[in-house]
Amino acid sequence: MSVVKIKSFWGHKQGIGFWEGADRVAMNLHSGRFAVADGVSQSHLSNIWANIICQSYVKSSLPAYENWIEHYVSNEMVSDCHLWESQAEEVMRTAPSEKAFLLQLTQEEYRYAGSTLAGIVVEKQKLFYHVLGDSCIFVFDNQGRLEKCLSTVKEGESITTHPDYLCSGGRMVGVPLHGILPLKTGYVMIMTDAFSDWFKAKISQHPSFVNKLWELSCHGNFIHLVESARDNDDIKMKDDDVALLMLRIEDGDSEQHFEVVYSDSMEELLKLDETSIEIIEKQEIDKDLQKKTEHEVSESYNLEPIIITSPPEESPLKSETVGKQDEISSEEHDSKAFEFEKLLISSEGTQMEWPEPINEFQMKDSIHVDDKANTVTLRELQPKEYDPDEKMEFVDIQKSCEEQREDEVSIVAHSTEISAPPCCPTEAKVKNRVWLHMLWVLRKKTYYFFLNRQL
Amino acid sequence: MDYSIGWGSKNPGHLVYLIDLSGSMTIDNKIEMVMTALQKNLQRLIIRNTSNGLLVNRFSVTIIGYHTDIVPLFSGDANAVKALLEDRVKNSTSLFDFSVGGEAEPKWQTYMSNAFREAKKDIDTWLQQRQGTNAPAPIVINITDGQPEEDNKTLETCAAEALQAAKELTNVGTSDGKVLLWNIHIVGKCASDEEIICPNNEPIGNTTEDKRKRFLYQSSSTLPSSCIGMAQAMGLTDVKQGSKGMASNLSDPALLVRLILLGSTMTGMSVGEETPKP
Repeated sequence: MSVVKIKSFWGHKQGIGFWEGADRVAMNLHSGRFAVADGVSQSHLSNIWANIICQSYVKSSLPAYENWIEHYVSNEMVSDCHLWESQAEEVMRTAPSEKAFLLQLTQEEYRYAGSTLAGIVVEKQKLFYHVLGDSCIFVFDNQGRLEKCLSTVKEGESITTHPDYLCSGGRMVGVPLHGILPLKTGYVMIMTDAFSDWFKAKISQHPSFVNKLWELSCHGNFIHLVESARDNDDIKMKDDDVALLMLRIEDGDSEQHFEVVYSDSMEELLKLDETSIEIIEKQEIDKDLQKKTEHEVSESYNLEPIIITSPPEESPLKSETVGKQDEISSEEHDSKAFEFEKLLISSEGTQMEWPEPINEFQMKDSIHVDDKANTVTLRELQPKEYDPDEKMEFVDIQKSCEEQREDEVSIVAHSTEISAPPCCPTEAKVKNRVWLHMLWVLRKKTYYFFLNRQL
Repeated sequence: MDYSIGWGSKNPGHLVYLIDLSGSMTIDNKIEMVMTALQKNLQRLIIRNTSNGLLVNRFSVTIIGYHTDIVPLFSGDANAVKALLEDRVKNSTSLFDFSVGGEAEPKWQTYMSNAFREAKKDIDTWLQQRQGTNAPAPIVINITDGQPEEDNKTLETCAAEALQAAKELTNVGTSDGKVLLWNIHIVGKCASDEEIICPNNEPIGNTTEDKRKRFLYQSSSTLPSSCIGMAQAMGLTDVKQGSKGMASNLSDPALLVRLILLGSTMTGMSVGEETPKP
């Protein structure tokens, strides 16, 4: 019997938010159904349609051996088309003014939405697949060797002239692919076209790259991978929405079971779009902070100012200095163990993990706390560029949920170069801890992170 | 240099439209045909760069009218284009006012060399702002109903000067490639000569018409190989390696829209954006 471990990730093209992104991922662990859908960009509200298609696939009770896509077109699709229509109307009706005109244009131009679909059913040691369009299913053996690449784009054919998709007007373009494979140990990866085009090129150069891809462990390092691939990689990834669903099939003793190792929560990521407003507010606050004195800042934001001091000169790391110039020696620095929770939000509102590879020890060394002087020393880390051949190391987020302490204080660190807003995208409060909110400008992106230090 | 950098929010593209506003544009309402085509083209650009209701700022546009004078009509990014279109749709007005006394009133002659020089100035400014970045090659589209024509100069002299100005314009560029110059010649309702679209061979002959076509051919850029497939997918099956970005004797408004759109997006919009409508 098999253990199927699952990881799924989701991202959007540059310049938009999660809601506007048209790629969707869905899974149903009870029925072993997994799906990825890619909304056609030249269509109207394809994000909604892609979501409906994905959900219909994973919630379906149709036997896995049936040609799900053809059956769907002849049966359930009609009601899904109505569902899309009503959801699209609702979006149009409630759209803010800056979006209303654009939605009107796309509605007049396209009328309907299109979406690809790549879905699998894992059942009784078999893998059933259903594909329509340029989203791809890759099957690797346990040595990481590619065995199958499944999509309805034929080798050599241009996807621009012959795209296959499901249309919210109630029709299908193209001929779907479906079949059965034995479920063997190894990997099954489902991804949308931008990621799969890049991945194909990557595995041709680095045949064991699939093992490295499996090492992705959180949204932050997934986004880091994607952005590096878009900006810096010798094989460039197209700037498009991205969805990645990975299954690792391992031998197990008991019945086949599924284990979600990591899954991007669309709900949480969609909420992040709302934080973009806070980030805009943060920028306004930054401007405000730069004009005010420390005292005025404390008054207006009801905060205790933190004084950041210089670390010992022999420190190999660059440091930020503001306020008092009291020096502390490395022996004096706080030796108390402290947990830290890292939550990084990029300036685009994308939740990210700490830039890697940075291990836990480096993280702890970067911040020195002196209780007596009530000072915190921040050292700027210089993380390396993402290197696909280097083993990635990731820091686990240590989360704890405890009651809020009544007299909890939020401390804001600010300097001429680093300024921090008092607002906090997440409202988690932890007992007996002090949150240190800092803003870190790194690689031309702006991050928040939270240092949770135990008193 | 291979025209491979697609437009993106981090590396937006740049388009310059040169609109002939000479007096003859009022004949057969050619000016209205051009304004309508340009508006539709801008609308398509906005739609193509909209993702489920959100506009991605991937390009900027400058629109320059020209007759005896240069008439700056518009300059702005995608958001500004959207605002312009929204205003025009809301007020049911033409993209620019080409009525008598309007900002885009056709009159006088065709100082095309000035137009090319003005386009170069605009692109030089844009290039300065984009220095150090991976900027896509800019695109210039010139829409005219005639040929270079200036007071006190022969047609040959005007053509030679305009050709020189066009060469200077197409000599600047980015690491992605030199400026791509499209010339689109339109006629009124009754076209006297056959339509030419993206020719491979230089027109021959010595009539005024022949010389006009030859000027357009010589001043236009060769289409990059990356856009041949796109042109063929749009139904221009005769477009092949070595074809020029040029059209002559166009009278079909729908074809004018398609050619302007092809010219505008042939290198900037990445492959995959041409998915046919559902």
